[in-house]
Amino acid sequence: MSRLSLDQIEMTFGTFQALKGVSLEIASGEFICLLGGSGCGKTTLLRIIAGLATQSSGALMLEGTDLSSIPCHRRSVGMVFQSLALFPHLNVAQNIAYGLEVRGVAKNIRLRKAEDLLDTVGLSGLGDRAVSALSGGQRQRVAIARALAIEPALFLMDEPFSALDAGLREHLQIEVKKLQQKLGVTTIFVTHDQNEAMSIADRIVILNEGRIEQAGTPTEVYARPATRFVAEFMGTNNVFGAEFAGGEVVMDGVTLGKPSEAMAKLTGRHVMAVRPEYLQLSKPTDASTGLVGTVNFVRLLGASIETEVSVGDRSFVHTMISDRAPEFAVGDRAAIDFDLAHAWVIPS
Amino acid sequence: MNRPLIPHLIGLYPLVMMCLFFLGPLAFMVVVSFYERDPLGFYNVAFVWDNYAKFFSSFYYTLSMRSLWSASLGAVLVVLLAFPAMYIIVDMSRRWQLFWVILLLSLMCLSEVVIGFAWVILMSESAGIPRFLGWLGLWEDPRSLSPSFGAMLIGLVSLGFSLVALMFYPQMAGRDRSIEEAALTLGTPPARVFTKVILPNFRPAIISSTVTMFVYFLGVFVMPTMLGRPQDWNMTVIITDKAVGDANMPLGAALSVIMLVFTLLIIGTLLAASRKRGKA
Repeated sequence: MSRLSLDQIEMTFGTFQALKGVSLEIASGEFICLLGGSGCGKTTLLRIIAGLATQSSGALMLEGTDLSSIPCHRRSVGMVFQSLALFPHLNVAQNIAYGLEVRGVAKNIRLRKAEDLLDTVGLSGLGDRAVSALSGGQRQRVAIARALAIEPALFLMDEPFSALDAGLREHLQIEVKKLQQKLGVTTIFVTHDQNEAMSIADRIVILNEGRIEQAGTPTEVYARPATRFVAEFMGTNNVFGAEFAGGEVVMDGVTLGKPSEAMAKLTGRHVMAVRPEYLQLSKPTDASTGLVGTVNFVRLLGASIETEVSVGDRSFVHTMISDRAPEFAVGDRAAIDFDLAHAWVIPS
Repeated sequence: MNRPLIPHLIGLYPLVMMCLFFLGPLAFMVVVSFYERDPLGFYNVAFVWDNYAKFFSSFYYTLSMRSLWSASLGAVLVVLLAFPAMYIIVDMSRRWQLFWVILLLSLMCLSEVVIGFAWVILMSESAGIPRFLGWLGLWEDPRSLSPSFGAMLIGLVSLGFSLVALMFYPQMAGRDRSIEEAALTLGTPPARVFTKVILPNFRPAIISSTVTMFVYFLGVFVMPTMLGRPQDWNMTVIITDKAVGDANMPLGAALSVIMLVFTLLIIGTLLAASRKRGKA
């Protein structure tokens, strides 16, 4: 049995439908990322799971128990808020021990637990500090420790790293992932950052306009997007329509190459997605019969070089490892070849 | 090295204002408090402690205690009433919040005298609440509710309510509501979130507004005279009575200095206690 089961969850605010029939099974100890743009319903879903909002319809079960009738304060969820929501009138240790205090745990036991958790999150000896005296990263750790102190059935995080700089964010992502693996707590993490979701989740749930577009492992959603939205949302992708006929893939009258065996069986028009790393650019020759376009943008992204090539109204993005100088400059002509073995046909 | 003069002149501005509007008059009052009263005139220049000595009598001791009691009780009551009221208002829609803020601002425009008269009428035997209660049959023998200590307190609360409510408004409207949600997720029952999280978070604002109201109510003149009995009058009324009614400016000045020292001592003690508790 799955730990948490969401069945046809709907949420309506006035005339706006924030969630439309969301169904999801989350296994015990799983690390799930709810991923999507602004207003896609990911925070609303998290708040429903926490009990801070009540769904308009649908069922929410935790290990067979209907959560809908259980108020927030009895759900045993540890939540890290986007603003962190640390209690300013309490010091670090008191913040962490707060949930235990509410549960009537003796002072010496709860303070020992707070010390243990401070040690776990790398803040040993800071228990007496005021939360206002901590840095952004330290405050994040206190918020995580506070949520975990109650040994929650579910650990929820609502874009907790969105206000941090890139380096610290990456560092904390790794720490949270390690901590979650160590404790084995079922975790639901909300983010709008694809890289963050890819780097920490066991499974990513991509939401768009209140619906689940796809739920799968990071590899699945990256390599085999279920919808065009997922293909375009999960990192850079070249998404285009092409005709499949006679074992060939043709776009705008140009044959793109030899498709895989499965792809060769397709007929008619389909939407394809090819990641930038599976495109090849070369200098066009008089004998070039494939796609030829003009380079309109080149940028260095640290480990890779990204080149954008325009062909008529379309743009294609190519990336290569930056172990050598860019081969193309803006204005150069470039021939584009597709590695169709790594192309993905988006299910219609 | 020539340092620019303008920043220094700008820095002097607050000092000049303080001297002009506060320290100057205060210094004059302190000086006058040591003068002798001239029964045929205003005062004679002298240096006597008689005016301060008069304070150490049972009359002034009782009066001081009464002033402190009515000001403290009024301050606590007005904060107790205004805090939850504003807490409810800030959770309303923007339109209703605006309505209440404008209403509270309008109430502040009313003078103390107008508020006092309104309460005198409302508490009168012939036209106010007692008559209404009598008409309903809830009060067999309706009598005027003012002047009384209770009427004076109601007047003080009316006077300070809008001011305190508006003092709470910016902080309450801008508060991070996820702190309350965090308390819920950590297991705090909704009924206890107010006492466990909201009140402690607003403790500095509650203390500062209580102290502000306490100082304000120590100095009110109209409400005690209109709604209170002579035995409810505070030190401000007596100072006015001595300085203007009896033309005893030196005694009025001495009582004012004593009141000022008392007030500063009380505020200092309250703030020190609050800071100490904050650190603990």
